[in-house]
Parts: sequence; structure tokens; C-alpha cells
Amino acid sequence: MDRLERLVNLVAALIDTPRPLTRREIAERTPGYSDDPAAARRNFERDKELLRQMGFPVVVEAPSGDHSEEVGYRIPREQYELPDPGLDERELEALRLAASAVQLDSEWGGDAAVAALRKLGGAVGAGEPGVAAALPGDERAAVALAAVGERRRVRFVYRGEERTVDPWRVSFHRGHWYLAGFDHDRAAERLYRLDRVDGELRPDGPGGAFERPPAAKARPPMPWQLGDGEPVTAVLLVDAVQARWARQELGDAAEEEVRPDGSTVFRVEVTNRDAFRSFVLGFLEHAEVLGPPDLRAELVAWLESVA
Amino acid sequence: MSRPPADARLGRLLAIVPWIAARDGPTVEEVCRRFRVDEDELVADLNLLFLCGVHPFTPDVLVDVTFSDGRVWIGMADWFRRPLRLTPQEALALVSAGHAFLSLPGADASGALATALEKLETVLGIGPGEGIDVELAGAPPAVLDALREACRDRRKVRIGYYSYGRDGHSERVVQPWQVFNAGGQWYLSAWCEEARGERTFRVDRITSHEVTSDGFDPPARPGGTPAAYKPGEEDPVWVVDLDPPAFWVAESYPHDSVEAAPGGGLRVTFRSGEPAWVERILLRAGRHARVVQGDPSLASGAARRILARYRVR
Repeated sequence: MDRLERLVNLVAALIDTPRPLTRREIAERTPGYSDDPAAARRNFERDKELLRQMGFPVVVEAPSGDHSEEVGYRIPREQYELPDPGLDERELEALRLAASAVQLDSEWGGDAAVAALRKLGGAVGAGEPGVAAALPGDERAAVALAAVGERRRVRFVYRGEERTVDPWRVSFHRGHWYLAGFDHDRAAERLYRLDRVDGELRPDGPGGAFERPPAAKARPPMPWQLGDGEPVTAVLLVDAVQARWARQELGDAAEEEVRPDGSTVFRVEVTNRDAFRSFVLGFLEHAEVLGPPDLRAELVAWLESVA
Repeated sequence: MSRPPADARLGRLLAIVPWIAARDGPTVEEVCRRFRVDEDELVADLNLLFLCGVHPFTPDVLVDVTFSDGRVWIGMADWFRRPLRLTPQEALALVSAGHAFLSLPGADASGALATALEKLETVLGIGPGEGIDVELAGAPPAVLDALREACRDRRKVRIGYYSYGRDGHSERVVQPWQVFNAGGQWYLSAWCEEARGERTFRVDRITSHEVTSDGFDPPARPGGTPAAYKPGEEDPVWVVDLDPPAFWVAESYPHDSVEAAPGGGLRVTFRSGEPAWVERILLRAGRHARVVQGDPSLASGAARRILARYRVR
């Protein structure tokens, strides 16, 4: 018998049953399992694992009745079924075009977009627009986004410490995926770069565990704003050739003066002096800290220690 | 022809069945086109489906599949009346692609894609517009538009370019192939006439551009898939010892190896033929990095060049 047939029957049986089915009941009611109990058990374990990997909500429950020793399995409909978002043909085609123009770089990115579109009803358009953009496909961003949707807490290790976080929002900025949320151990809102999480993000506890505050569309702060130092306003002169790149990093609002030769003066709020120094050194000799005097002196001292 | 594995077939089948079952006999051809599946594979899987059902597998509890006149009907499949929920990966792939596409220059922020995302995010519990935000780098739209137009019209472009790795500025004529965004950053892939080779330019380092009236023949294969910087085999090897405050060097830059160094530090080995790139690493690490192999005077020379600028005032 084709394994696909056994799997379809297994899913139907697990959805159909009003009470959890034991492994023995499943083998009896589903064609394709071996008559040998040990082999049937192995087959079922493999099938169950595959279904879970595919996202089927196979839950384990204590069955009612006589089978008190054994656990039972079923698939609750309300966890299985995708609610209908009510997409029309134009919307499905727009999603298809977006998914072929923007790819997630990962082993699963391309297949995942195709599978998602199929579940939503497919799309009728033809033609591929060609890749216009590629984002890194981080598994942790996927887990984080699902947890945001379920309002389920996540646990993970960050900078060597265990964190318990109410996930509020996933964002992609400057080439990295971030998670914003409420950190329970620090009792404060925090922002995490997901590629710096050690290992996996683990959903923890039930869904609906918290209320999400209204989205503040704030961009992640720049590195020199991530710090508890005394705020200081740095005045930075950048040569003409690099001025545009500096403006892009610092924002238009930071621009104070464009000089006749095209060099530009920026004013930058700094609370992390180490990060600011690294930023300025990226310009090599094409930038200069004009002030305040102590910040300028610090940079000179740093360079003298290397020179 | 080998069949896809059982899980791929199962996922596809359980997405297609609810769609057919909810309709009065769509054509097989439409189902294949819409769900991007070969007719042979679809028919094989559907033929197998009508042996499926639940115990005791009497006709009243078996899926009913009927083919007639190139159309297909499915009945008695109430277990599969809806598709399975999106997996986290599927949701991220589709939603992030949609948001990234909306942030591409020229996208219609109020069109079908925007309303599709609103509806989708509502059923996923992340929206609308509250749970995810995708921002691609803000290259000036005028530059992106001009470069894309030049790619489309096959016009050579004279560009001024700042090379980060060599810390130099140059003018060159390029044959533009493709503008794309990778990892949030905009790139132009092109044939560089000066270098006589394929090059990838970061759009935010293009300091000037002038589309010429000269045309060119693009290569047969589409160029420029998003490519990260890779050092060449012949590039000089650098071995640098890092103190703990400079361990970020090992985390942030591509390298060949990292090992423990005497005194609790790290010894990192990397290759680079781009001196300015190495200068920045060494300057940022300061005294917390010591060159074990490579030009020991590179960092001090760079520091003195910068200091010269501070001392004239």
C-alpha cells in the first residue's frame, strides 16, 4: 500500500474521532499498518513524527474508558483548520507575484511560500517576475512570528542568559531579523537580534498569554544609541564621497550643514561611545569628530594607542 | 519520473482537496495550473484518495472522487473541508515576501497585495500591520529607478563608485544586468568595462550615475544572484589574536577558523585582499587585537593617516 494512502487515512481517523485513539485502535482502524504489533508501532511513530513536522496538531491525551494505561491521539479540528481569510483572485495573484519576486534564503524558503499559497487556494496567473529581493530565512524569525500571532511566550538564550519574553513584533531592518517584546526577567521592553539567539526559540505555555500593545513603528536603534551612557551630541564631519552613506545610516534629520565641497556635518545623539567610535572608524580618514572636545580626545587617544 | 516524497504529496493533496470539494466540478486543467502540479501526479493522487476514509470503510465513510469530461468532483471529504493551518515557516515566507514587495520602489501600497496581507495577517493573529515589519535599505528611489530602467533598456551607465574594501573612488562604465536587494541591501550586478569582468556594486556606494545612449547585448544567462563577499584563494592570510573585548570580530566577519589563543583570547584566521577592510577591523578592535600573521604596520599606518587629520587643527 502507498504510504500516502495510509497517511490520508490516519489523518482522517484522527480528525474524525471524538475521543483520543490508542495506538492499537489506530492500527486496527487504519489500513496499511503491519499485523506485527512491533512493526505497526514503528510505522505509527514514523507517521506521527512526519505529521508533526508538517504542522499537523497531533495531540496526546489520556483516553477515556478502559485504556487507562495507554495514551491516545487525535487531531482537534479547531487547531487543524486554517480559517478562511477570504482572499479574492486578484489578491492571491498579488501574493504569488510577491512570493516569486522576494525569496527567503533558506532550505525551506521556496517550498514554504509555494505550500502557503496552495493552502490559500493557489493562484491562476502565469509568469515569474524574477527575483528582486532575497531576505535571510531564519527559522527563529518563523517561530517568533507564530508566537506573536498566538500571543504565546517564548524562551531562549541571549548573550548567555535565559530569557522569557512576550513576543510583540518581528521586524527586518538593515539585513537582520529582530524580535521586540516584553522581557519578564528584566521587566522591560527589549529588542533582540534573532541571529544572535543561542540555539532555538522555544514557545512556552498556552496561547493568548498576554495583550500586545499597539505597534510602535520604531526602527531598531542604531548601535551607538544602545547603551546607558550619559547622552552626548556628537558633531561629525564626513567627506563628500561618503556623505550619502552617512546620511542613510544617520537619517536626514541628523544633517546639519552641507559644505561647498560636498562634505557634510551631522549631529548624532550618542549613548554608547564604543559603538560610535566603531562607526566613525569605518570612514577611515574620511570623517572627523569635530566635538564635543572630550569625544574627540577619546578618539585621538584610541588611535594613538594603535599608531 | 520519480514521485515527490509522501510528505510533499500529502501536503499538496490536503491543500487541493478542500478547494475542489468546495466547487462544482472545476476542470482538471485549472486545478493543475492553479496549484502548480502535473496532471499525471494530480490524477494519481486523487485516484488513491478515493480508497481513503475512516473505519469501517463502507461507501458512506469513503471519499468520493469523480472524473468526467475533464472535470473533477470530490464529495464525502468533510474531514478535509479546510486546509491545514500555515506552518510558521510558510507564514513567514509569504508574509515577509508580501511586505518586502510592498516596500520595493513603485509598489502599490493600497492595491491587492496590501489588502491580501491585511486579510492574511488577521487570520494569523499578527495584524493587520502590527506583528511584522520589513524594511529594505533606503537607497534613493531616483537612483534605483534609473538603474532599473537602464537594465531594462540595455543602456550602459557611467557610474562613480566608492570601493569600501579598497577605500577608493573611481569612475567606470558598466553594462547593467540586474538590480536586486539581498539581506536588506541594494545591489547592481553588471559587466564592468574597466575591469573586464562581472561585478556587483552596492547601490548606496554609487556616488553618481549617468545613463548613456550606448546599448549593449546582455548575457544569455541572467546574471547576479545575490552573492555575499567571498575572499579569493590567493588573498593574503591574516592571523589575529583577540582579547575578549574584540571577540565580536570573530562573530561578525567571515573567517576561516577560530581557536583558543594563549591567555584566554581567540586566534582568528581569515583571508582578505582588501586592505581597507582589514584596516577597519584592526582599528575598531584597537589594542585588543594583535596581528600574528600579515602586515603588522597596516593598522598603525591607517591610524596615523586618520590622526593627521586631527592634528592640523
